[in-house]
Amino acid sequence: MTWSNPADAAAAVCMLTGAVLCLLAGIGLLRLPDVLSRMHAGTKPQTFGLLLILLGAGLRLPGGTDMGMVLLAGLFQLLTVPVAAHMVGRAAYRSGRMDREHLVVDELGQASRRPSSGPG
Amino acid sequence: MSVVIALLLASGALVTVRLARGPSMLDRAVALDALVAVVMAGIGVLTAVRQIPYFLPALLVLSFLGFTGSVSIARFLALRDEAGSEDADEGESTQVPGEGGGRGRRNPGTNEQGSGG
Repeated sequence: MTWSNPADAAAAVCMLTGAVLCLLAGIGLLRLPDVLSRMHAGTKPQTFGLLLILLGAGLRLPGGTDMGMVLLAGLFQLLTVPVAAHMVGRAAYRSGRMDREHLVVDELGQASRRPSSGPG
Repeated sequence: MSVVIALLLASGALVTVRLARGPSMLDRAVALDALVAVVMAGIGVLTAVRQIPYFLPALLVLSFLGFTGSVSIARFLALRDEAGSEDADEGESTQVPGEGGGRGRRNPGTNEQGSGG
């Protein structure tokens, strides 16, 4: 990989940024106190870092079908990570695995206390 | 590129520490999702460095595998290893709509917690 080609240089910058974001996700996952904040660290920087690395890989690949498969992997990641994080956060809320002192607003508890408007 | 590989290895090591240490099953679910994402990033870096596209279907497989593992842990295992929180769980689940498909399957867990408490 040489720096003379601008696509290669852009791919290198993308992959370096993505790897730094993955490292930040690992540090946040290790240091943050409870499940919800760890989930905050483990989903958003991780997904963005992975998308940057996939963008770098797509810049390096010559063929169109390979680029399509990279795009498909990124699209599936964007679709599945929020759903999984939603399930994990809901299970964390319902099993009481979280610090209630760190909550600013508890919309799920307020919505479940009002029977007229249940949580969607 | 060795810098990128070193950063990814460090991230994977930190995530693995959380995966081994995590106090509840949900921490492990989050860490497992992050570890799968780190492996996907490693496959992406390998693809970019060697310019071979043969590992790209593994990206799709790993994406769905991480999703399935995280969702199944959150859905079926996480409510089972919490010993003292069955009241909050049952009080919530009677009012939450859209959960009717899995409530019968979670009954062994709640029975086990009810007999314990």
